[in-house]
Amino acid sequence: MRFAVAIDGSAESDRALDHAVEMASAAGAELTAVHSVDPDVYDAGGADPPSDRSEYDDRLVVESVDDAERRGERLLDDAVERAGDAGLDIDAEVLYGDPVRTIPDFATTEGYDGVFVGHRGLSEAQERVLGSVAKGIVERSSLPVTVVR
Amino acid sequence: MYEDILVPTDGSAGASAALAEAIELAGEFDATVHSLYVVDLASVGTEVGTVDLVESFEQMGENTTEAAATRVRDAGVEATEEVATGSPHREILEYADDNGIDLIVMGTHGRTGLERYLLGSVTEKVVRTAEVPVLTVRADEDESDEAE
Repeated sequence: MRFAVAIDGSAESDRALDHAVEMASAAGAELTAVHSVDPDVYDAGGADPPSDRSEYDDRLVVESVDDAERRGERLLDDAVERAGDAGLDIDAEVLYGDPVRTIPDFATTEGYDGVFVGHRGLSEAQERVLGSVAKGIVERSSLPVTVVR
Repeated sequence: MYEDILVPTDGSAGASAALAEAIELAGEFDATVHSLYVVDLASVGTEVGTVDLVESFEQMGENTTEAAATRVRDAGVEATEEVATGSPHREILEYADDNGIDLIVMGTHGRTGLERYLLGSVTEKVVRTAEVPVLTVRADEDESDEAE
């Protein structure tokens, strides 16, 4: 069995990684950390959604592809290291584009058995404004998706 | 890893796909599969004859969870079954809390091409609010619809 875990550097993504590492270790499965470089709009913030307009402006910034790519590679390096500390060697894969599209497409095309993704646990109203990568991946993926809070 | 896996069931194809995935996982980890059917009071309403209606929904729930549990046991996996009454997503979360559930497995509709309708509303609410991981499984695995 082979699983993929979506990495974006958030605390939720760390929890999804930890859960996926535990699951893959217990099942004797392989695991790949994937990050999709998507520089169009970029949320630099943390676990809580932005509370007002100025916070949106601070957090949602457009950055260069190079910067986004470097950040993605660094996040994946961190993920590989974190999994290694937990005793599992994992692969890493950089994708390009909207993660809601690229991650399910990659996992399906490459014959993975499932995808793990973190979720912020937003309210319905917050989610309508910010969208949810987790929900998008669940909706797009024909593979089983495990959403981790 | 997983010891207690909850599969809310409504007899649909999505729930059946979720059950298949849960059985496989439970077999792998020697876990128990809990089948739960929730009689949705909101869908029953409060008109005359409601009591009979609730009873027939409960009967349907018992039949559905019993069929699910039989399928689980036939696969050599430990099973429990329960029928609850109330708001489905709240009952699911409450059951998960009360019974030390460490994974909830639920189906999505899998109508490809209509992405925004893919997630059932109960699955959507559980994914958004559950404290434990939620594994979503698509019922329809028609690959040809996937290609865009």
